[in-house]
Amino acid sequence: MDPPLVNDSSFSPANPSSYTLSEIWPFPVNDAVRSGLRLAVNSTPSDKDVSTAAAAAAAAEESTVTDLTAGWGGRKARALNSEENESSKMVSLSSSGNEVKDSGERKRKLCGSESRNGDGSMKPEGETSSGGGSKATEQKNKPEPPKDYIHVRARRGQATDRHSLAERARREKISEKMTALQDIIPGCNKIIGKALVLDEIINYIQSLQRQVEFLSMKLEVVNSGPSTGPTIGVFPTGDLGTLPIDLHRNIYEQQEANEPRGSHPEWLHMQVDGSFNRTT
Amino acid sequence: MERQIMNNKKRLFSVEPTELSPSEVFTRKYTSHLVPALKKLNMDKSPSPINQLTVKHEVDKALALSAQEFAWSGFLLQKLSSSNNPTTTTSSSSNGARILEGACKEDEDGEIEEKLSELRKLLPGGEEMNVEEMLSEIGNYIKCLELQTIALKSIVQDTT
Repeated sequence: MDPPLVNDSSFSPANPSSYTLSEIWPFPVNDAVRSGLRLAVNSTPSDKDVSTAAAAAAAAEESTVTDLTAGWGGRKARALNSEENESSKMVSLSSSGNEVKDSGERKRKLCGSESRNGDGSMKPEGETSSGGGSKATEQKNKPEPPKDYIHVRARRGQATDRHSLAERARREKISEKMTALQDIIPGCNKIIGKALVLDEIINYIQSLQRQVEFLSMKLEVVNSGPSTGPTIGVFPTGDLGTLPIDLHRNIYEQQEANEPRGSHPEWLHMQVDGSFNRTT
Repeated sequence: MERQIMNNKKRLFSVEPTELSPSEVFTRKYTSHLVPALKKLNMDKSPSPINQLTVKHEVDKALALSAQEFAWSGFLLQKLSSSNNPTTTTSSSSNGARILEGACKEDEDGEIEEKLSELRKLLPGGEEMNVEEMLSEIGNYIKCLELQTIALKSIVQDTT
């Protein structure tokens, strides 16, 4: 493939399409990052390289450069080229409001796909990088004010104006909550598609509410006193003492073994029948 | 007899070791609200025959009182206090309407909107919330409903 763009000793360009690090990134860089960059720009990347780059970068002072290095493990000079256009404006992976241009989008796509590999180191640097990014954007006087730091990844070809970004963030929040709901509701993990999941949620809530109604009906029957309810046997005092503890144990055991409620109506049906027999 | 059981239940709550998981906290609160209320209902039998609505009312009230950190509980309390007739929870008729409307509207977004509005009707106070809030409230509403059914089952089982 391409010859290595940088060699060990210095960063003097090996071919005209590569650039020195100082041209790309005017801020001071320490040796750890430099070695990280070297590893990352290697033409045959591997996950190991990306992670070592990320690890080296994690120790770096300038966390913004790590976005460069880990994000572009093995990218060609073209990528460096595009970065050089926006050199003072840092690509902030996490902050949503900083990038406006299409080249910004492209970078984000590159960085985004790479950063999924080295995900662990990305997020904590997102904060500082967005801080550095906002500083850099002022230099370039982008019209986009920095938003709150929600982790939004713009994809290629999607609009980056303020409204769609906000909408996209909102949509992502909503789908986050939907997945959280999917975890709560039994049997919802396998369902794909908002509408079906919502269906399941509705059915589940309705069945829970119906259950509560049945149970309160039953409770009303039971509560109306031993004369009308099923014959309540005399409770020996031993049982009375353990009753509250049993109540709680029952509750927690049932909580653990949360089975589907399909069988419930029959159970209630039987019991209520029993009680009605006695009253009449 | 039953009064004694309920008194014992009340008394022995404090002896048990305190655990801090939120579902246990909720269950304790719930039973401690509901059981005395049932006892009171039981004792006050003479003025009016115990009808289903009163018990349901107490059940809902106990639910709302035990979950006051959530938005829907406030709405539920409002509903309970405004009308003595508690809201009926089963909505088989609205179910039918939903299916019909779902068939008519081919638009996917429209269907989702339909379902969201259905959800809003189910959740107390859902009409006044926006979608994000409603989704998070629904999560804890479901949890509390589950705990409530378990508690009610246990109470019913223990007194029969």
